[in-house]
Amino acid sequence: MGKQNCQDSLAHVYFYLDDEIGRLRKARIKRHLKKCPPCMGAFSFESRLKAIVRERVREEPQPEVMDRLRAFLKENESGFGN
Amino acid sequence: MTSFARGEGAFGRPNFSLPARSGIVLPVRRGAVLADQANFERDAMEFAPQLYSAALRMTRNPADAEDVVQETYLKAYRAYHTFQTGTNLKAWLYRILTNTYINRYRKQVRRPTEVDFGEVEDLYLYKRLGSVEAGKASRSAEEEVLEQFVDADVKAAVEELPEHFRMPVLLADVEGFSYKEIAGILDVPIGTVMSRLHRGRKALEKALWAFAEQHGLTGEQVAGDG
Repeated sequence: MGKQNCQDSLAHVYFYLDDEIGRLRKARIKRHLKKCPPCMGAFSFESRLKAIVRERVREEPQPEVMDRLRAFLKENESGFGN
Repeated sequence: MTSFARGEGAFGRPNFSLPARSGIVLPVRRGAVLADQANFERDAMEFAPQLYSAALRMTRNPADAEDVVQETYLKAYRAYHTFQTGTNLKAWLYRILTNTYINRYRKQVRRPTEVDFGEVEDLYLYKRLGSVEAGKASRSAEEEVLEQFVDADVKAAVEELPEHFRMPVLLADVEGFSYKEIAGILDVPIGTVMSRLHRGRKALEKALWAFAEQHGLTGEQVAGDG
């Protein structure tokens, strides 16, 4: 019974973290996680991993890149920026 | 992949239209309000830094990323009068970005290689880090290892992914699009998005594990406050 809940929860870990599951299943998984530290550990890890990917991969362009983009558009389309 | 043939050469007037089933652009409804080109700067420019960041991970090089973003914005500006206000502008821009990238670098874009990541188990990284840390008192030891990955590691792991895995991972995990939006952007069925995303993430975890081993993050010493 408990094992079944673990399997069901772990099978949906990405759908859960991506917020791509129905409300009922989400609630069921949430209840399970509260009672099951090993599953909670796995969910917490995967959630942090997803966040790490976002944080580490994002890269703000230098201001000059945005300046050049505007200049490029203005050069090709006289209507831009008016 | 043939759907990407819809674009045109660099800097031509865009001749592609976004398919109705993408959910990004619907057939023009009665009463639909089309965007005014005069508002393009106000509406669309705020997304440019994000698009540049995504383009960097696609092209893996700043000069190419800048070119792709410039071409994307020129096409978007020229097509903006066809954009329906109130629909998803960010997804619309990413679709143009993706098409521009694929068209421009088609020759370099590898065909979907049948790399079999099927043998990579679920929770690959967690399980490995878990076995390394077995016996540690702290349950968050695995997460502490995650914090030690530097930007370069994670960027390299993403960039190493085969094309058809990299795009869904970027769009979902970095850009935060829903599966449905990604299906529209990449013009593939939603089931394909899910399976590529799933396999892409496994491949990413495998690459990160390799970095963890290289950098000695898997040893007993996990730098912490202790």
